[in-house]
Amino acid sequence: MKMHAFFSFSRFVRLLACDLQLNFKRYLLTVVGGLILLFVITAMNTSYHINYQSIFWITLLLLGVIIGCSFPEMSDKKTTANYLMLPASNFEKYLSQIVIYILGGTFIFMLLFYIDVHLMRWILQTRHQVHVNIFEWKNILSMGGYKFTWMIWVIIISVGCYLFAVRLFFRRYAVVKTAFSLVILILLALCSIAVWLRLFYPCPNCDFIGDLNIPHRIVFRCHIGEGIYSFDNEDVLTLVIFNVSWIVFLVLGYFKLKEKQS
Amino acid sequence: MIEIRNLSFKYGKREPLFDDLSLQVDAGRIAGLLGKNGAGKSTLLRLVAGLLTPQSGSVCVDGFVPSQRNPLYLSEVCMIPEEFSLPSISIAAYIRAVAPLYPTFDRDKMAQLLGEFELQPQDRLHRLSHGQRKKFLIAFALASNCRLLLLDEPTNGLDIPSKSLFRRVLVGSISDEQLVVISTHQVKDIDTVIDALIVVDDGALVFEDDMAAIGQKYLFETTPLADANALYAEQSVAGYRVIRARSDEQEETTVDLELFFNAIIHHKIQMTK
Repeated sequence: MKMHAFFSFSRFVRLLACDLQLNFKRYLLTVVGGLILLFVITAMNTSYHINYQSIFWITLLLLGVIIGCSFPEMSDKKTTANYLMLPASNFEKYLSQIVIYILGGTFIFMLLFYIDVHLMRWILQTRHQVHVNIFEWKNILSMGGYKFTWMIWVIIISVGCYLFAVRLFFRRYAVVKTAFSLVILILLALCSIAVWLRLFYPCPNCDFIGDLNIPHRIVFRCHIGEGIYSFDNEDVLTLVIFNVSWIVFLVLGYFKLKEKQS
Repeated sequence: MIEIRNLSFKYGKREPLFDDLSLQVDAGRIAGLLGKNGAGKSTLLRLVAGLLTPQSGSVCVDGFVPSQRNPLYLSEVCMIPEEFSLPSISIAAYIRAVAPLYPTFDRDKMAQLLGEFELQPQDRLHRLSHGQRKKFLIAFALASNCRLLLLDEPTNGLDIPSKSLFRRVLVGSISDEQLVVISTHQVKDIDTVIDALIVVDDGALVFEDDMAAIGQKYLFETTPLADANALYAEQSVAGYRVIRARSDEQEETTVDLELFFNAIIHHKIQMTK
C-alpha cells in the first residue's frame, strides 16, 4: 500500500500520457524548431568540412535550454496548483519530467543532431560533389583522452541535472537566477578544488591564486582497456564533486517538489 | 470527512491568518464557506486540498493528511480554484488526457453535463469565455465523482441562467458519499443549494451549523418598522429585514443567508453548536 502511494507503474504511464497530450503542441514545436535551428547552425558551421564537434556542443547547449524548461506548469501560480493536484505521487511527477525532458530530450536532440549533420553531408556530397569528413559518434563523444572525456561528461550531466532541478526553485526571473547561481556554483566548485589542493597538497612556493594545476600527486592508477590512466589529486576531487553533484541536484529537486506549495 | 484541529497558518512573516481553528465537516453535504474578503476562505480550501501546509495543528480528510499529497487522496479530491488556467487544447483532448487519472471518472456523466452547459467536445478551451471555462471545470469536477469537491467562487463569471443551471446540476449530481465545500462571497448564488454553513472571520471559525437548524432557530422577516427585540436588522427598500429567535409554535421561514451572514459578522449571532 505504501509503495503504491509512492509509485505505481500504471499511474505513472497515465501521468506520462497526460503530460504528452496536454503539452503535445509545445513538444512538437520544440522538435520542429530544434530541427530547423540545428540545421541552420549546421549550415553556418559548414563550408566543405562539417565541424561535428562544435555543432554537437551547440546541440548540448540547446538541450540545456530545453531541460531548463522542465516543469512548465510550475511557471505560473495558477497552473502550479493544477499540476500539484493531479492524482499522482510527487515521485511519479518528478520521474515523468526526468523521462520527458532529460531522457526524451537527450534522445530527441541527439536524433536531430544526427539527422541535421547527415542532411548536410548529403547536400554537400550530392550537390557540390565533395568528399565530406566521416561522421562517427565515437569521435564526437570522446573529447580528448578517456580521463578528460569522463570529466567533461560528468560536468555536462551535472549541469543538466542542475538546470532540471533548479526549475523548481525559481519562478520569477528564472533564467537570470539560474545563470547566476550556476556561475556561483562553478566558482564554488573551483574554490573547493583550490582549497583542497592548498590544504592537503601544499606548495610553499605558490601564492593562493597561483597555478591550480600544481602541486599534483598521483592518487591512483587504473587500467581501462589497454591503457593505464593516472588520476591525480585534482582529477579525483573534480570527479568526486561532479559525480556526486548531479545526484544531489536531483534529490534536492525531488524534495523541493515534495514541499512545493501553491 | 474533513477534520481540522487547532490549525494555525500564516503566509511568510505576515500576521497569522488562522489561529487555533478547529472544524469538522461530514460527507453527504454541500457546505457553504463564507467570510469577508481576506478572511482566508481560499486559504482554507488550499489547506484542505494539500496545496498549503499548516504551521501547527492538523488537517485530516478521510484519514489522509492532505499536505502529503498522497495520490490516493488526490484521486478523491477535485478543486476548482477561483483563478485557473487551461491548456490550449479541445475539451475532448483534455478529457482524454486528464480523466484516466481519476479512477471514478464517468464519461457519460461528463457528456451529459457538457450538453447541459451547452459546451461541445470539439470546443477549444482557450477560445471559451471565462464563464464557459468555469462551466467546463465544474462539469469535469462533477464527472470525476471525487468524494471531496472544493469549489472556490464557482459562480464568479457565470451569467444568470448559468448560475441557476449550476445549482440544479450540482444538486442533481452529488451523492451521499460526497462532500462539496463552496467558498464564496456571493451568498445569494448558493443559498438554495447548501445544507451546511461555515463562516470564518478574523482567523477563527465564527459559525458552523446546518441550514435546517438555522431555519429552526431563527425567523427571517421583513417589517415596516425597526424592532428592538430583533437579533439583527438591516434597513431595506421594503422596510427592515430582521432576524428573530424562533419559538416552536412559529412557522419556519426561508433563511436569508446574506442577512444571517451579516449578523454573524457583526457578532449579533454566536455559534451555539
